[in-house]
Amino acid sequence: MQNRFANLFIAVSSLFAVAAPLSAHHGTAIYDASKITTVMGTVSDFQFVNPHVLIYVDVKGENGKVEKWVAEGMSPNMLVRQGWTKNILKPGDQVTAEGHRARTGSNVMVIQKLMLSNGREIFPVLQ
Amino acid sequence: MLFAFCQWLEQSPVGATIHESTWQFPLLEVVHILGIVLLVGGTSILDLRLTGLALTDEPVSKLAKQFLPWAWAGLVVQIVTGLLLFASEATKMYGNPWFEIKLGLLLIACINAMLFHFLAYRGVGKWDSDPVAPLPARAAGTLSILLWIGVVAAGRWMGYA
Repeated sequence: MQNRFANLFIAVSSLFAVAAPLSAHHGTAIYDASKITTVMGTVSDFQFVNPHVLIYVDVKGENGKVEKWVAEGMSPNMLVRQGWTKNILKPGDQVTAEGHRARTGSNVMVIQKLMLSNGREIFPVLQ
Repeated sequence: MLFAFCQWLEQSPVGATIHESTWQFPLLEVVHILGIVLLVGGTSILDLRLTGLALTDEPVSKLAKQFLPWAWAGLVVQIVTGLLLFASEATKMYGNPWFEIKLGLLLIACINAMLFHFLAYRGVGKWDSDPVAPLPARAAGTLSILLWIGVVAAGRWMGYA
């Protein structure tokens, strides 16, 4: 009996062992929490969607070229309880987003702080 | 073609409502997890009996009669909540390798269950009360446990793809 349990345990754990190295993504693990990245730009799209809200920001680089950024936030449910609505941002809004950039170096970040151009903070505290 | 369908589904009233919802999406997630308990709990009780790991004092057919209805109820819950969750994120699931793995394992798990039912289980009268079931039934039970673990694990990993 004990031997059977041991066999089943080995079979099950090997399944996870195969799965684990292949995963490494999303959650907040894809973001480099050791550094803060700040981007300033114009909102091109705001999606108030599950599981996480997405803010698309056009950032003008020093050479005048526009970089497309995606800033990911929390879930609509959490943000609604902080006073957000799906109309809190609209295309054309000027924002400053602070957060952790994707480890891959792509223009994707998870926001820690979000401010409108008039200095009003809307995340983590809605002012 | 398939991607166009995913886009249509996500933008349909049902898909869009759940996608942008405050409560429906997390509630569906909760019910989808409870459905796992019904479905995989029900099948696992029979599977553990077939492998000889548990409930060896009980006749196999008795456990099948008592617990498979729970598993069927769970399957219905999973299909309904699963389809609704899929509708809300269809374009994201398109090309998500773990979603494809999950569906593949799910299909194999269903085929395994059907093969068990129509082959190994047909002669259950001969070994109903044997503590250790014949090899085909043991194999089906073991495979079932592993496949359902795989379905659940791949399902969770979809969110990290």
